[in-house]
Amino acid sequence: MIKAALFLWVILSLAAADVRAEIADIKLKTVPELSEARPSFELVKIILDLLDSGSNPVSAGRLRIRLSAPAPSGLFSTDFPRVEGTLLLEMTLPVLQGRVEWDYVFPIRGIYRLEVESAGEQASGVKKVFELTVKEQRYKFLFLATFLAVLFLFGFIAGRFFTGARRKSEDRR
Amino acid sequence: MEKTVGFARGVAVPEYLSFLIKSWFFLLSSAVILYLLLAATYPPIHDTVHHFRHSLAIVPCH
Repeated sequence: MIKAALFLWVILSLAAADVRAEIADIKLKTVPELSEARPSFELVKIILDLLDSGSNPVSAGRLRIRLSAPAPSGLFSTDFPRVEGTLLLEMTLPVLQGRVEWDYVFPIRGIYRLEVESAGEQASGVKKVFELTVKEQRYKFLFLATFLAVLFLFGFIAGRFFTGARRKSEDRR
Repeated sequence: MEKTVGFARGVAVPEYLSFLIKSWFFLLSSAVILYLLLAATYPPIHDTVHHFRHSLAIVPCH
C-alpha cells in the first residue's frame, strides 16, 4: 500500500515537473530602456524572460522570434526607407536559465513588432506579440529645424533682394 | 511707357520681365541645389552628402 502511494507520488511529481517546464508567460526587458534607445546608434540588449505557470523561470526550451520593422508612415519617411515594413529577424534561440537574450541595433525610429512563440519539444503554443517603440535621435530634429530655418531665411532675403529695386522706384513716385 | 531696366550688358528689358526672369532663375537654381543636396542618387554626390541627409530625420537616404 505504501509502495503504491509512493509510486503514485513519484508519477504525479514527474507530471507536475513537466507542467512547470512549459512556458506560460513571456516578459520583455531591454537594456537600456527603450525610451533611452536611439536608432542606428545604440546597441540594445533584448531580454525575454520565460516563466512557467508558477512564475518560475523555465529551465529549457526554444523560442521562435520574428522582428518586423515599423511600417512606412504616409507623410514623412525615415532616413532608411528601404527597411520600413520589412522582416528584420527570424530565428530560433535556445532558452538558457529561463531567459533568451540577444543584442540588436534598431535601424530606424518607429514601432517594431516582435513576435515570440515557444518552439521545440516542450512547446506549449504560447505566442506573444510585443510592440517596441524606438524614438528618433533628438539632434536630428534640431538639425532639421535649423535647416528649415536657414531655407526660410534664405528665401526671405532673396525675396527682399528681388523686390528691392521695385520698392525703391515706387517710393520715388 | 513701361519702365525698362538694364538686364544684361547692352540689353534692357521691362522691369516686370527682369523680375520674372531673375526670380525664376533663382527658384530653378534653388530647386536644383536642393535636389542635389537631398535626393540625387549619383554616387559621388550621395557619398558627399550622406551624413547630412541622415542628420535631417525625414530625408530618405537608402
